[in-house]
Amino acid sequence: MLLTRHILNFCGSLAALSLAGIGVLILSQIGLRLLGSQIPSADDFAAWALSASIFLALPATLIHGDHIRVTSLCQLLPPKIAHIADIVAAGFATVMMGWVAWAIFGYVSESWTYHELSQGVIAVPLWIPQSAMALGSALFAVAFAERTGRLIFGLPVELEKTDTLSGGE
Amino acid sequence: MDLLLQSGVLIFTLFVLLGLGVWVGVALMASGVVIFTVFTSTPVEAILGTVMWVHSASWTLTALPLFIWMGEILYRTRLAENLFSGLAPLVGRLPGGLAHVNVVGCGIFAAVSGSSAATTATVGRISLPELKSRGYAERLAIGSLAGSGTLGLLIPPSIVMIVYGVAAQVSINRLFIAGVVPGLMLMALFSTYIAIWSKMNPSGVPAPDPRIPMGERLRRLRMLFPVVGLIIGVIGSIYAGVATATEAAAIGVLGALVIAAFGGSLSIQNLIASLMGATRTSAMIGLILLGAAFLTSAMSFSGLPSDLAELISASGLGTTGLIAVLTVFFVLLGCFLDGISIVVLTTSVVLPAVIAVGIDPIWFGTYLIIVVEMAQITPPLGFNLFVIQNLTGKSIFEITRMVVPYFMILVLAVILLTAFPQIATWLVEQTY
Repeated sequence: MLLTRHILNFCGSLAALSLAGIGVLILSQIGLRLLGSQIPSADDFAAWALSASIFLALPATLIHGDHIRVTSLCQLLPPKIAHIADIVAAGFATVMMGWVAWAIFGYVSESWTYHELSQGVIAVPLWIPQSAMALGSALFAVAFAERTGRLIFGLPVELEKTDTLSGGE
Repeated sequence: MDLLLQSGVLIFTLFVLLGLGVWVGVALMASGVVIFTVFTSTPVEAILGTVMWVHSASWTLTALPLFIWMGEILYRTRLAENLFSGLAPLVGRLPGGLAHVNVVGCGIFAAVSGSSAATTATVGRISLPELKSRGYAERLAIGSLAGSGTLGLLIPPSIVMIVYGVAAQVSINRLFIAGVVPGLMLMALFSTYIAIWSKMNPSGVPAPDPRIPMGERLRRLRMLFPVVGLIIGVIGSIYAGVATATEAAAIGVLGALVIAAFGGSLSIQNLIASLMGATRTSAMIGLILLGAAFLTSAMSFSGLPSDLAELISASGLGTTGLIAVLTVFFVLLGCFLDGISIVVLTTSVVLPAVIAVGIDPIWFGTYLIIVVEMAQITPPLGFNLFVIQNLTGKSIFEITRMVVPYFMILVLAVILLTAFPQIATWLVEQTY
């Protein structure tokens, strides 16, 4: 189980690099524009980096307990029943995200089969940026499966909270 | 009949899944799947892949993680301390004294941060202990912080506005500008209430600190320069029309890093913590947005929103009636759902009806943000309440009692905004 956590956290770090990359890309674009030049397809690259950042960070966000869910109703239930509800919710999410990962994989492999290219100045085969989406969603399903297993065996599911802000609101 | 059946199925699915504790984004996706399979004959996998890609690889959305990152960096600087010492001599002699630091401090921090939780946490970390040690009444200190903290959503930049703009396909820059005047209006309302309350409860407000000499005051005021510079750089560039929201956000990240470097808080550790925090928060919001985008596409295939629009047009509710009904509905929803989920559910299901009645989507966005601000401070699920609970160790319900007057002020703001829509639209018309 520990190995999966390392993999998920590693993907989280890749997602963070991707996010920082968006910042660097856009700042360079602003700088170059002041000099009268520009980065070709910068908008495309920034958008792809965002997709990669979101999907690769999904599993790490789950194990840090940062994904939003409604817990107020379950808190009203007796602890045993609440625990079962927790397992059912995690199991449901495993199936749902497993299906999503499978559908995304199908979508990306179509891009690969039909050699779809991006529309920008630089034509890139779309499966390359899309593969982060396939990887991230697959690992997200794995993270939910791991969570379900841990809940069944009564193991802790989330990492200790450190000094972070709660949520984006 | 079909409308009734479809909305019944949608509400039932969402209610069961959310009540069970299924993650909001996952529950939205699952509801989309249910709507697709029960009410349409469209191949659902093919659509899912396209929706996930188009809505995650979105240039407009890149502003979101950057603004979050900017807030995370500033949260770890000495900005809040500087805000307090710079503002204290300015407002200390007003009736209500340093409680106004909460209002003005939150207003200023909201203009560099897109989140009300970050605004409340950053300002409250300094102001609550300071106010307590000087003997201010708790209901004044905590209530005014919880109320003003919600300004983080309305005063640009704003994460929730970006979410609304992306989901409703409305210009984010225009939304940002529409939030400025209502934000200032709310600050004035909060401050007025604090002044009146203090006159009526003199025992809750201690005597002002001794007068500070002019030179010292000016020296302290200088501490506000960096943050004012950052506001001008970020909002100014949007207002002047020279930058897109994403570019303004990137400039904001750079500015925040410069402020952190000069303040001596730019360690590798802080940088990584801010970046990881921003990454996870944007993934969290991203999942909800993707779930909502999929549900929206299910909705457009099933035709539920247009049926709903016809029903609302035929009901003869009118703008004011519709807004009144929606407000009550959103406040109830806000007790159990977070703001972002409310916004994406609204844009998926209700927005077509709202536009069909002839309501301006920019105005509606501003209205929706104020309603979401209410959701931030309604128990049991209210993010600002959680933040203050962490800061003070008080129970949610104790805090809620102190927040009630500020909630009523938000209701008043909605009434004013509905009666005088120009409050939101005037500045947008001046700019564009």
